[in-house]
Formats: sequence, structure tokens, C-alpha cells
Amino acid sequence: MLIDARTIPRDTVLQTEVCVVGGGAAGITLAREFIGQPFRAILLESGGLSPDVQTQSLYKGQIVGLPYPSLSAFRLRYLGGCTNHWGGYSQPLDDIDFETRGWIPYSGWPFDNAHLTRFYERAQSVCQLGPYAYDPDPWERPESPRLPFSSDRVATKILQFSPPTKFGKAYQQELVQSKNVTLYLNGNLIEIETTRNAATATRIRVACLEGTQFWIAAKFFILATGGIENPRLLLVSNKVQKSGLGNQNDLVGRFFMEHPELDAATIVLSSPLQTSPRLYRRHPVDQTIIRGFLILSANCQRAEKLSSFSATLSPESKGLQALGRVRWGDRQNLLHDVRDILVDLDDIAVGAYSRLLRGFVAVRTLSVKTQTEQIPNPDSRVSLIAERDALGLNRIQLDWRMTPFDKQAIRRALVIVGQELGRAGLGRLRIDLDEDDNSWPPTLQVGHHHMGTTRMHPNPKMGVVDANCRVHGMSNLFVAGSSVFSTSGSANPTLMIVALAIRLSDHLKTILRSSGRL
Amino acid sequence: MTRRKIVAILAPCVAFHFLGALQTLCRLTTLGTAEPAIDPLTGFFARRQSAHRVGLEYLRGAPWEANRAVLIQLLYEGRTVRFLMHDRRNPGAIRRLILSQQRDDFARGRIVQLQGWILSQTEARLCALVALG
Repeated sequence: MLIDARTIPRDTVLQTEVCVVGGGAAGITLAREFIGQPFRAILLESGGLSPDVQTQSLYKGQIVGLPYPSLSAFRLRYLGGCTNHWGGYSQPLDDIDFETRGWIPYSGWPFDNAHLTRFYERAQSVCQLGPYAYDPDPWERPESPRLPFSSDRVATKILQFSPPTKFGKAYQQELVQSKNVTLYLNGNLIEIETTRNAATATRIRVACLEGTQFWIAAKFFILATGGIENPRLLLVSNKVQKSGLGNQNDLVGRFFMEHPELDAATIVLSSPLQTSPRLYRRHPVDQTIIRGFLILSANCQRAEKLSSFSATLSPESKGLQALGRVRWGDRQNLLHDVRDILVDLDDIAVGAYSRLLRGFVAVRTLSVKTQTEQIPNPDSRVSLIAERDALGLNRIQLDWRMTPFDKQAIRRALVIVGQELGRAGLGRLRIDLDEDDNSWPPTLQVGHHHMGTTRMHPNPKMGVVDANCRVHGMSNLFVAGSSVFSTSGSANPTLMIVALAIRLSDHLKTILRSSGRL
Repeated sequence: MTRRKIVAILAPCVAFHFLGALQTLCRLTTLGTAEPAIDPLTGFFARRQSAHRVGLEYLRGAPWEANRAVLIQLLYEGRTVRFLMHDRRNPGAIRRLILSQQRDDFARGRIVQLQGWILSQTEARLCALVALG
């Protein structure tokens, strides 16, 4: 069922068993999982079926710390949320991302990656992806081999592309036709009301921009409003717990993580390729669109005490090469010089690459774009500011901060990739990243992945939610989405968001069935 | 720098490490003195100007190596017998040896960074030899 929240009479109290707030990837996944269950569920979405300037402006906030794109530009506040401009990039986190790594403070999840496999498999279908396979073996073809590195320090992993699935459009009809799930549009959560001890959420107050306000009472509430709004809604719900719900240990909003992206290096191939390495380009294999990319193996990360690293390769045009030389200063045309030396010395690679010739445009250089893990940092945070939005809620301030380790790790990872390229006779790598660990180049980009602000940890002093995504200290308030990520890995988060949402839905279904709370 | 001088530099190291080295050295000294010793090392750079530039860049960061004898000693450090036992009139053999050493550099982390480039110590030193003329 679909209802426009603006039509609900003022001060109405809607009753349900489960209330999901936020109609993005996590919220819609949860709502779909509840379809056909023997209980009622409400999915509350702030926006409508298409973008709206007024609603979108509720996202405005302040940026301090590292430069960051406008908070109201890259999040979308209508049904489907950020999947409305999702690129479809899908991959699971790696096993090592879940481990407690002694060299990375605050690392470690309450479960391992294997625990998530069955949820990932279901998430593949939700995201309209191919089989759950991210090692290169099933995707490699004679015409698209992986780069033949001679050690296991650098490996190839596969990224799958969703069509991409715009969750709002793809699943709207299912929700509309559901008998037990009701989708409310144009309603905004403005307060979570709790019992006097703030241990249980009793109901939420919903406001529409046109002025109507009403309540939703539920047995379980799930915040699924994204990595910036989730902490905001907990922090503004401060009538009982003065520091905000779940914030008794001053953790809500902290540990904001992104995936820093950098055009960080250039590879000069030992011998010109007649085509770029196909596996590393976006291409179809058995009706699934995939692309290979490079990672540091888990063993290498452990040995070198590094964080998660991934690098995509793309042919660099002559124009871009020229631009790079200008940017670089090009004192003595060292690009060409190194290439010349390489061709002189590395004739073995000519033989290796001649097998890859496919009669297309010769590729001599590849640009390397890195997407890496930002390690958890409590000083990187979102917090409330005095300025309020049209609904009277405090706006937020994002203070994104990275540590010197984050940059050192990228540079060291690139050195390792450069070493392994040379060792295998594949080419040489130039790092286009300065050595000042306390600053970031103006070309720093982000993945628009907002993670960690209600992080998961079994210890309430280390995390906001427990292993089941329940807010510590509260019996019935849960959080879904990338804000619960304990660490970010370097993988695009959507598949993980969907997998965790499915896992949470299973958890709630089990509770509702077993406790007789229906 | 003549071959005789190089042999003089390398001889103690060879004698110290390998019993059969003296015999090899004797054979080497009979090859003649006219051919400069560095030719087999730098002769396969088709683009000497490029090698020259890279070499200059390397020497800027390692001025203490701006000496042919030092560079040659460093290039063959620990590998002297292998080098000497190759037929030095066979550039292919030298080339294979250098390539092997270059890969070994990368494997063992013997790398240098020149303006961001990750290069093997061997190839950087070869370029430095060219730069020294």
C-alpha cells in the first residue's frame, strides 16, 4: 500500500509492528523482506517518487575538515535514495576487512565475512547481479586474462555492475501491492520518543513540510536514512537522553569514514598493448557486467601492516598523458625516458604481451585510480550545529578527517604494485602522490560512501550498535545502512548494505515469531 | 676505466668469495685491454639520451655513486663470478644477466624512486653509468 503522509490527519497515531525509516537501499530491502510476513510494517520515506528541491534542502549542512562535496547534492531524498544515482558498483568486503588488525585501531567486526555469505547471495539478487563470485577464476577468458604477477602480493579481484538497480523504481510496485507493508511518502522523522529511561523507543513523530504532524507507534524501529542522517536523528532525539539516543559514550556521529579516491599513479607498459587489458575494463561475461581491479592480498596487508587497497586501471589517452606531464612539471620528460629504458631492458615482456594483441589502438600507459580504506578515526565525525532546517531539526556539520597512515598506506601499496609490475616484467609505475602525509592533493575525490557513524561493536564503549544492529542500551531501536560499518574496507558499500539489511530483517522476523510479540 | 682496472677492483672480492675465481680472472685478462668494460653494460641502451637523463636523476639523489668504478662494483656486488664467467663478448648473455638481476631487485625490494618512478636499483645504476659517459 502507498499513502501520501500529507493526507494523514494531524496527531494521528499509526500502529505497526515494524517501522522502517528511510526508503533507500537498506530501507527498501528491509521492507521487501517483510512483505507477506504475519505482521505489519511501515516504510517511511521523506521524499516522494521524484526529487523535490524543498525536501532535498533538508540535507543541507556544513563542511569543515577535509574538502567534501555539498551534503545536499550527492544524497538523494526521495524513494530509492542514493540508488537513484548509483553507478551499480558491487563487491563484498574482503575477509581481512572483518579481522581485528593490530596495526589498525578500532578494527574488527563482531563476525567474519563467511557469516555474511548467505546474505550476500540473497543481496546479489536484490541488486540484480550475477552469481556470488568475486575471484577472477570464473570470469577470466583466454581473451581477457588477469595480469600475470609472479607473487601473491598483488592480486586481481572482480567488481560486478548492477544494471544499476534503482530501488525505488524497481521495487515500488511490490511495496504498493503488499498487504502488510505500507509505504508512506513525504513524511519526515523529527523525533524518536522513548520511555523515561530511554531504554525503549515508543513512537516516532513524523512531520511533513506542508505542516502536518503525526505519530507512528511500533514494536521495532529501524533507522535506514544513510550514514549522515542516521546519527543526526539519534542526536536530535535528545529529550530524555540529553546527549542523544545511543550516545551515552559520545560515539554517535564519530568514526565517519569515506573511500578516498585518487588518480594516484601511472603505469608504463613494457611493451605497447594493442588493446587495454580487457579483464580490467568494464565488459560482459555471461550476461554479467564485470571489471577486474588490483588489490593487495591479505597476506601482503598483514606483512606490511597496511589497510585495504584497490586500484582500477584504464588506458590513458595522449591528451591525459600530456596533462599529467604538465601537472607533474615534466622537468626532463622522464615519462618517455623511463619508457625508453623499459623497452630497452624488458624485452621479455614483449613476448608476454604479444599474446594479448587484439588489433586495437596501442596502449602504452595505464592510469591507476585508487580507492582505499580509511581507517577508523574518532575525530572524523558528524555533529549537530545550531542552524535548523525547515522542520526545526538541527543541521549537521561534517568534519571529515583522515590520518597520516591513510596516505602512507596508499603510497606504500603503490610501491608494492610498482615492485610487482617490475618483477613480472609488466611495466613500471610512477606514483603521482606527494610525500607530505599531513596534506591531501586537491584532486582528492570521494566515493560518496558515508560509513561508520553508528559503528557496530559488541562493547557499548566502542560502538553504537551491537552485532544485530540494535542500538546499545535500547531494546527496540535498530540501525541499517553503512553507518553501522565497523571498518570500511575498500569495497563499494551497497552490496554490503543490502546484505546487512537482509540479515537484520531475518533477525527481526525471528524475534517477532519467537517472542510472540505479534 | 679499462677492463684491467675493473678486474683489479673486483679481484679481492672474487678471491675472497670463490675458490675458482682466480682461474676466471686469468682467462679474462687475456681478452685484451682495448674494449671499455662498461660497454656490455650500457651498449644495449638504444636510447642513450633517455638513459642519460634517468641516470642524472639517480645520481642527483646518490652523488656518492657518481663514479664508474663504484657503480660497477655495486652493480656486480655478490655476482662477480657469474658475471666474469659469462662470455663478455656475448652481449646477449650480459643482457640476460642484467634482466635477471633487475627482476631480482624488484623481488627483494632493491628499488629506487625517481620522481615517483619505481625502478630497480640495477636499471637506475646502469643509467647512471651512461650518464657518467
